[in-house]
Amino acid sequence: MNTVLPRIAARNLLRQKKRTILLAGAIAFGIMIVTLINGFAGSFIQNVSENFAYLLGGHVFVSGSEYTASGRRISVIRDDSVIMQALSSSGQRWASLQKTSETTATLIFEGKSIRQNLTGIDLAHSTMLKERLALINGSWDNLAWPNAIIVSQSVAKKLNVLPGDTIVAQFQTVTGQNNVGEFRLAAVTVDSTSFIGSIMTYVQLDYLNSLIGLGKGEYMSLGIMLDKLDRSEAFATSLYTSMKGMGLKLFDRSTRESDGSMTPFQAMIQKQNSETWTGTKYRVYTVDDVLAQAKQIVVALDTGSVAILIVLFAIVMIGISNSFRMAMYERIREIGTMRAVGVQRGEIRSMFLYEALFLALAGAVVGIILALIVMAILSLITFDPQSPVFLILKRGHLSFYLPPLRALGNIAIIAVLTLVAVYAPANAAAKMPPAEALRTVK
Amino acid sequence: MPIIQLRSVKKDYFLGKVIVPAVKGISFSIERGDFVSIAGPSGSGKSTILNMIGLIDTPTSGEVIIDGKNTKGLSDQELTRFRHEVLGFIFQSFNLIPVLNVWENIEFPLLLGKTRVPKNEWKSWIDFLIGEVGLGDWRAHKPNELSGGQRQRVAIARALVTKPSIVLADEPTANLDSATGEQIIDLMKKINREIQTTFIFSTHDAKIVNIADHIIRLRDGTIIENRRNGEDVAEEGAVDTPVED
Repeated sequence: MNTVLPRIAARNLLRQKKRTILLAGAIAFGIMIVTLINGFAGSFIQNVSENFAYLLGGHVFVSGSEYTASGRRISVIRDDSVIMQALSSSGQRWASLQKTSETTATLIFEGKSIRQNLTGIDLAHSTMLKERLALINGSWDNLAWPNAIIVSQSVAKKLNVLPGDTIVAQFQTVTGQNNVGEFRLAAVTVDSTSFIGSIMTYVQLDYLNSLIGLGKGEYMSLGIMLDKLDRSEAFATSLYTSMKGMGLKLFDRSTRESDGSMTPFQAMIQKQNSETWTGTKYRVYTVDDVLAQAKQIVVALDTGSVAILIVLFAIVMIGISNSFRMAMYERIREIGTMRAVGVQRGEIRSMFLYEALFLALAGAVVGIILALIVMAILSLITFDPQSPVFLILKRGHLSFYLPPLRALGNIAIIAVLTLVAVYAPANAAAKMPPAEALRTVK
Repeated sequence: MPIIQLRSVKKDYFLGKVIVPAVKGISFSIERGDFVSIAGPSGSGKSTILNMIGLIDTPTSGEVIIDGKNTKGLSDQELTRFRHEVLGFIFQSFNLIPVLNVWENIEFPLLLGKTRVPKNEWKSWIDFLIGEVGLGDWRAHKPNELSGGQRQRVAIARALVTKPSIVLADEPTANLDSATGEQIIDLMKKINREIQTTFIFSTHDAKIVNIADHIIRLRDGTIIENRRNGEDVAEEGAVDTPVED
């Protein structure tokens, strides 16, 4: 291949350093902004999903539904042996399992009360709790108490309770009977992903089950924590197939591909509400199903960033186009000379396009590097643990994830736009009759 | 057979609606290996004729036959390829490529396609040419680091690098002082003798004109003198009767 024309193009860029720096700088700035948006959007969904996964206790969930004799629908998994079998035979790996029951209760202490969602899990054996929550008061040892309860700092403050105090809870059983129970405050939490702590109240699964009318070994939903968030969809699909193969009744996962007027998860719930069945019917869903709306935000951010990219660059491209037009007139005698000694029209055009391409690539690479630096700096900022932006944070810090394909896509868009902007002047240079070009006096 | 034949060549320029005749239907031939001068005052049509011989401009009417090939009707691509193979150019203002150094400037035409120089001989041939034009110590310098005379020497080496049949030089001494100008002409003459390349140069400098074997003198777009080796050359075809196809 003839490398002399790209070589000349590259050297022409270096020849007009100021012009090159300005134009490449404009491209770099635009790419930086867009990359930051993409980086934020990329990690946004991950952080939201990760945080929700911990909040809900899994990346993939199985829950069971059945009708009681009185026709009331309750959420329960009576016997999970088949599910466990399906899990093992699905051939997938997981990090941990968490069996959960929950109910909404009013917590009462010395005349003060607060409404809380009680999440019943195996407190003593939950690794998630110790990983994600920090105690401000009380002790992990207290989790061995059969009626232990963990509340957040804000709840403890509202009720004015201390570890060891007994809290009364009012709630309904699964069959709709009113009931009360006594819990003993084991610990008060605060953590960097505070919001989880502030809305979650944890109690012992067995104790909660006995209060709400579920038997020993029964629970409402199984949370499966994976080692990687992005495996959840594949995992859920394979678990679904495996459970179906075991002859379990399942809600169709394909409802998630619904018309878009509601989230796939809402569609699945609605379908569930409109059906009747006997025995237990299961649904398998992922944290992403629950967070479909958050995904729409990401799509909006990404679409917006492409729009910004195009608008920003429409402006930059006008500058580039004009600069190349000027460069063409400045170099008109060179062009004439090259044509005279045997350079073809198309090669003159290519030479200008090479120059534009190098300019775009240089600007884009610098822009991405700048964006990565800005991301690194922004990630150092620590946010207040109580900050409402907790859900988009990763352990209290902004985080960015730039999908490599999107970065490459942005570079490609810039390259194409630059080539389009430069095509007209490049073509004019190519079409200039050599005699006329040589006659021109600068 | 002559290496160049012009038959009733006319060239008009259009300035808005005004037609300016630059060359008014001239015919002449140039023999292979000659050192040819096209002389005349500014505006006499020297550059226009050189451009047409050089195939970077086309006649309004008439024919230009180079190396036995009638160039009429060739496409831009064919003309470019033909220029590359058969012709070398030397310009009044040197026209080197500023971002390439001396060696690269001379090499440049070789990189543009097939030439008469086999690839394994490029290096020795370029080194030979650099030696010929006396720039052995300047090969890595950029054009802006050279004097006018040196730049024109680079241009001469570049014009010769593809071993063209014809080298065209449009007022090669116009931007040089007279002593340097004479050296450049002497160098061209020396190479003309050594490698039998046909040189055609335009000039309005009477002193230089007389070094040529063949002098074609122009005024107002017509030939007023056509002498080869001191003798008048008979006109081929009548003036002002262009050959029509």
